[in-house]
Amino acid sequence: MIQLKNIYKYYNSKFQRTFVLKDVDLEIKEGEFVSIMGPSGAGKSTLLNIIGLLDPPSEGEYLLLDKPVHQLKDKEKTLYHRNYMGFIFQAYHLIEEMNVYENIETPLIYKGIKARERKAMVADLLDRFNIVAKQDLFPSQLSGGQQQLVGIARAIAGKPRLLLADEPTGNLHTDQGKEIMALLRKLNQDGTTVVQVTHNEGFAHYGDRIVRLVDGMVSL
Amino acid sequence: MSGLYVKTAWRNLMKHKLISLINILGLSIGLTCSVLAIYYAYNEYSYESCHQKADRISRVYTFGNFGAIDWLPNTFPKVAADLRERYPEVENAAVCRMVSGVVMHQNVPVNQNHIMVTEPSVNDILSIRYQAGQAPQSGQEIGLSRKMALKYFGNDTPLGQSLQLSIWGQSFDYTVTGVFNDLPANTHCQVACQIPFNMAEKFHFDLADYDDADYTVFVLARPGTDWQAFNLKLAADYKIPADIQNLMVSLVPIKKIHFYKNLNDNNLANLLVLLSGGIIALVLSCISYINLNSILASSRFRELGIRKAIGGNRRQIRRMLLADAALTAGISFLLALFLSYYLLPGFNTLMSRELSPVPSLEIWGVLLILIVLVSLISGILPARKLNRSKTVSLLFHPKVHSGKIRYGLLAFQFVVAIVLLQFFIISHRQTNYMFQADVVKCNADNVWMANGWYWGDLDKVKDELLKCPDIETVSWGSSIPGINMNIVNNWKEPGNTAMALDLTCESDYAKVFQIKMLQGRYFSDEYPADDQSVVINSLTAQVLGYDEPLGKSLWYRERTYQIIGVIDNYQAVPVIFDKMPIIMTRSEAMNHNLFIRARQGRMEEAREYTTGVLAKINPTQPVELTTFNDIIMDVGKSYRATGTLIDIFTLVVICNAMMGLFGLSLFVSQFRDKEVGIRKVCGASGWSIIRKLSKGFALQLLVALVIATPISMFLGKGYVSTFANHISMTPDLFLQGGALAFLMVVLATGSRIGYAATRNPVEVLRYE
Ligand SMILES: Nc1ncnc2c1ncn2[C@@H]1O[C@H](COP(=O)(O)OP(=O)(O)OP(=O)(O)O)[C@@H](O)[C@H]1O
Ligand SMILES: [Mg+2]
Repeated sequence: MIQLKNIYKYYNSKFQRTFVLKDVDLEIKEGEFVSIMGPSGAGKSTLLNIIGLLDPPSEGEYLLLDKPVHQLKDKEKTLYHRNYMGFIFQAYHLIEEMNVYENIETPLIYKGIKARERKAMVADLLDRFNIVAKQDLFPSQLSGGQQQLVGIARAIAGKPRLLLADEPTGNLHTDQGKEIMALLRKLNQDGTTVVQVTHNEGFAHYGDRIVRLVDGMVSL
Repeated sequence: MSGLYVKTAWRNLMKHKLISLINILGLSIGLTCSVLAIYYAYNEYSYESCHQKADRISRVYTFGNFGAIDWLPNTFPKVAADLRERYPEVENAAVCRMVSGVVMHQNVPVNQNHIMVTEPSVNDILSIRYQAGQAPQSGQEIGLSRKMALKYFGNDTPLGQSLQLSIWGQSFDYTVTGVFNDLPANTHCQVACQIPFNMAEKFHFDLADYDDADYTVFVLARPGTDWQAFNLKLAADYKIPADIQNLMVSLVPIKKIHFYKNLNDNNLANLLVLLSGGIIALVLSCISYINLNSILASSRFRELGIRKAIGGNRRQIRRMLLADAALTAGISFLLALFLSYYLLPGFNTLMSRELSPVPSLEIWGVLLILIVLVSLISGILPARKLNRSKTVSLLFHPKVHSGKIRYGLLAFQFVVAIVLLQFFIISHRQTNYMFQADVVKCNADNVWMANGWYWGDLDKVKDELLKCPDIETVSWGSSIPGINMNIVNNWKEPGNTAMALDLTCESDYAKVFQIKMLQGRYFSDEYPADDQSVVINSLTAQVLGYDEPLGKSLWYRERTYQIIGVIDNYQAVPVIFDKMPIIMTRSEAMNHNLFIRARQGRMEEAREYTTGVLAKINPTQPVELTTFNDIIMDVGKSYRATGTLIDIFTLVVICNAMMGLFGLSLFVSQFRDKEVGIRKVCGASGWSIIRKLSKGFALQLLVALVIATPISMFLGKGYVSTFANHISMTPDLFLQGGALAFLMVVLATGSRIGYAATRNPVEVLRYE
């Protein structure tokens, strides 16, 4: 599903070039659950953002679903975001002006799904995540764990084939974290490919495979 | 979907209530200005459109050497017949004469203007439509406008009734034969009633002569006639047998009269001031809005990043930003319509117009375009940011950028505000200066003025009036200082070309207006020989080259006068003119103006007494007493309106700038709350924080001041040089403007910055 070949990411400052990713080769198959680990500053988030088409690589080739995507236009990226990918962020990144229901609904609106169908889909998600009672609350009225549940619900609302999570449990208690992890595993078992970044060795083992990143390089 | 956009936009609005309020208020002030300007412009451009054939109608103007002026909006009566008969281009022409008179209404005399003595064919040219009865045909018949019919007959049917009207002292009973629809306010031919010309002999009107150029002639040209070509033809082969130099007539299309051929009004200038003021006010308020909105939007960059990550495309997100802008614009727009509705009566008074508060379809169209434009423009900056940023940087580094454009816009706003402030100070200084007692050198406070022709021998009136203890002095004369003037050149020696002001006045003229005598004496009843005497001002003495003018003689009006006194160079001509040589001769017992000086604080009592006396002397004439101020307000009304408009726009612009500044200071301090908190925890003093936060504003102010001062110096110089007595451009004028601008900045930003500086840092940091 994902093929990264000789991916480099660097930033140019006045006098020097700082490499964040160096010659990363990585393949992830459809249906896998991969955990990326590594010390702080190793480039994990950068890698995930490249996979998620939020950030272009400086050099290298990236095939997503067998199509080269490293030089896509904004418009085409949007189509991938809409139809194939879901994001879960460490800081949840819910839209503060919107309540739970609307936050989950938004990607569906962007996808162009009709109102009635949308309603059913959101209702289903609320039900599945047990947050029906919270649907009218705004993010600021929720606990961190609840916000992350909403974040996940939003990420999978569009039925993505690939779920990207950057430290989804970073701001949560271990118990809450375990819950989220169980959820991700469940989603993976239902067929979604999951790539997560984590610092927690225990959580990393929820996945099938661990990719270790040190100094911008994959260490085998 | 769009409902959703509105909902999100509304929540956003509510989230930043104060800023939204500032945005909406600022924008609606700017919009109100432009709405009023649009109403006004529409009205101005629709002048004369009430006449169906307006495109083909023109009015005959006469050009020639008439002394102080070289054109008249009128002409000789015979011109109408000449044009009608000799030129195939002319389909019809009608002569009429506009006069005023006095109507006896329930035994009270009432002044009546806009009486049209006319040939019936004028109604084929102008769209004067009789809705009841018919136009007057002959003899003592009269046709009334609906307004006039209502005024004198109320709800009774006016047809067949009689109306006592006196014109030039000749009073007749006229029979009402018809009522015509009122012409709207936006035509220069205002008609209250029509009387046929066959009353002519009674008024000594002679339609077949070339003596008197006080007639109005309207011409209806055949379709397709080229005015310019026709005027050239007229200039070439239409000669008028009258003894005036360079005499010729020219047709002015009535649609041009309002802007181009109007003696008393400043219509074109006012329109330009209003339009440019409306545009400036709107642009500046949009700039404020864009500024604040772009910062507001930058506080949403992360949100935009999220939206992109979850599949929103640019178009959708841009639409959302636009919906935000449109909501603010829409609310401001409603507020502006509301405001302009309530301001319209005042605006109408200021501009002497009758604009309708309910705009026409065309105006709605223009307004709609305006609102769309404003929303688009104000939504553009945040959208631009969106286009230029990568999703990652929106998501993970959504910091508020310094924004070069924003600083540019703010600086621009500063410059405009400072220029206006400085100009405001200059123009007000100039006005004050012109009317200062030691510049004007005469005083018309406490003086009542009346027409002097209707009360018989004014000596008797004077005796009667002086019986009242509230009246100090009574006099009369041919003109009012600073208001009207009669300019002559038949003095000094035959063939002289230097202009002088001719005045005939009674012995107490100087006393009434408190004008100082420099040498000799003024006219006095004790010297019957004063009929051979003149009083001059020192300027006249200078022009004549007399060091000792008293007793010397002056050639004037084909005879010799003896100079008995020299009067101060008071402001006898309107303030926009240079002071002139004055030649005063003694008035007979009747003249244009009667002046009554009341004792200090006794204006009302003096008015009551005078009214009683005059009404008793002539019960058929309405007594109208006015003050110098009333007259000056009325005479220069349209010019004054220009000044008032500029003042208002200055105020609006400054108001807007202040609101924008306040909003910016709010943001600057809010976004730096955390930084300020940390600095304080590290030991920064309140002062150093204030310095830090206001440095940007101070720098901008300084730069703007440097840019603005030469501009306002240039404008100010040009402006004051249009006045004969003008102030000089001293640096303090500009410093004052700068100081005011500084004050403006301090007022607008001080509270918020002070708050940030004095706030307990724990409050801020706790929430991080
Ligand atoms: N815009 C940028 N300009 C320059 N350097 C950057 C930029 N963004 C990230 N970096 C650098 O890239 C490196 C990798 O950052 P990244 O966020 O991917 O690390 P990470 O592995 O996710 O770390 P953490 O575990 O702390 O989240 C860091 O050293 C960071 O300083
Ligand atoms: Mg990271």
